[in-house]
Amino acid sequence: MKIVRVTPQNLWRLENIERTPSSDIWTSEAEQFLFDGRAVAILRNKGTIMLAPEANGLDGTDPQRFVGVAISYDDARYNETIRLGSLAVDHRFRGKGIGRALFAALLEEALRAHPYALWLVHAENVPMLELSRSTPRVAAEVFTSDGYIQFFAERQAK
Amino acid sequence: MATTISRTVTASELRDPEVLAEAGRGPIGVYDGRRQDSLVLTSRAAFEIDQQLHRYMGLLAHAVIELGREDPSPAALAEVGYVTTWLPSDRAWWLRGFAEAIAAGASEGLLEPITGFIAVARSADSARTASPLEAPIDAKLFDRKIAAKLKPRKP
Repeated sequence: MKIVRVTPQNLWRLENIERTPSSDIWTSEAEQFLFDGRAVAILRNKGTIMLAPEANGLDGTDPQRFVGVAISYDDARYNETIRLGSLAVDHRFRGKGIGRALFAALLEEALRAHPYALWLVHAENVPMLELSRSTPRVAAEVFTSDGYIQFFAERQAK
Repeated sequence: MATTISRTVTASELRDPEVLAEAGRGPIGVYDGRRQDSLVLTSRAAFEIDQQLHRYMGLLAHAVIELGREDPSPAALAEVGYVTTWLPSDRAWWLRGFAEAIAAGASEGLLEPITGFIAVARSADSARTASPLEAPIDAKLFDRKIAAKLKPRKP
């Protein structure tokens, strides 16, 4: 599997990613953000990073076909801080380690650009919680009053 | 997809199924005995893709002209007329993206990079950047040491 930057040249491949037919609230929130135009709109902003894993051997179709997408962008509230936004893996390709690889690549790219990264995970989104907690760069996590956990990671490992 | 003429055959050779199969894979030349020039035989699908690519290149040229005007007309830009409602800075991004999509489509002989770009960009209008992003994060919830690292942006 290869993870590439989404640019205007390959933007059309986002059309290949199928939305989850029936999903948990955090999945539908993430997919809505990624596919309703907001993510592509902020892709125009300097500092936004959008990454996509390519199928490349996962099935017999176009090897450059996107099987997921994730975005990070300058945090609106804090300086020198990047916000890890939503991450989605095409439901037909889950369980293959794509989300883990995509998250690791996004965090690495994000922390290359900024010293600090922040993100939110729904408290019932167990896979994403485990993934976040297994990341050595995570220095803190805290519950919020509305059912999310906010994570803080920094360039230097804790 | 082959885009250059692989070889030129005579009209009588067109009875050969192999020659027709070759024309299906990419254009071949056919000698026209009555003219100095030759004809070109290609598949209908390749011809139609080529026609569409030309149309999109024309649309890009129209978009460059139209978006340079103070009051661009959506009608003049057909299915990409939506971009006239975008902010001027966003239009520049769109123009570059459209050009890159056409370049990708032309080099691969595909329409998907272009039709896909048009579809994906259609929903990403300027109003989307102004709409709220995901829920905000509050640094104050972290312990003092972490919170001190997160400096609020000046409004």
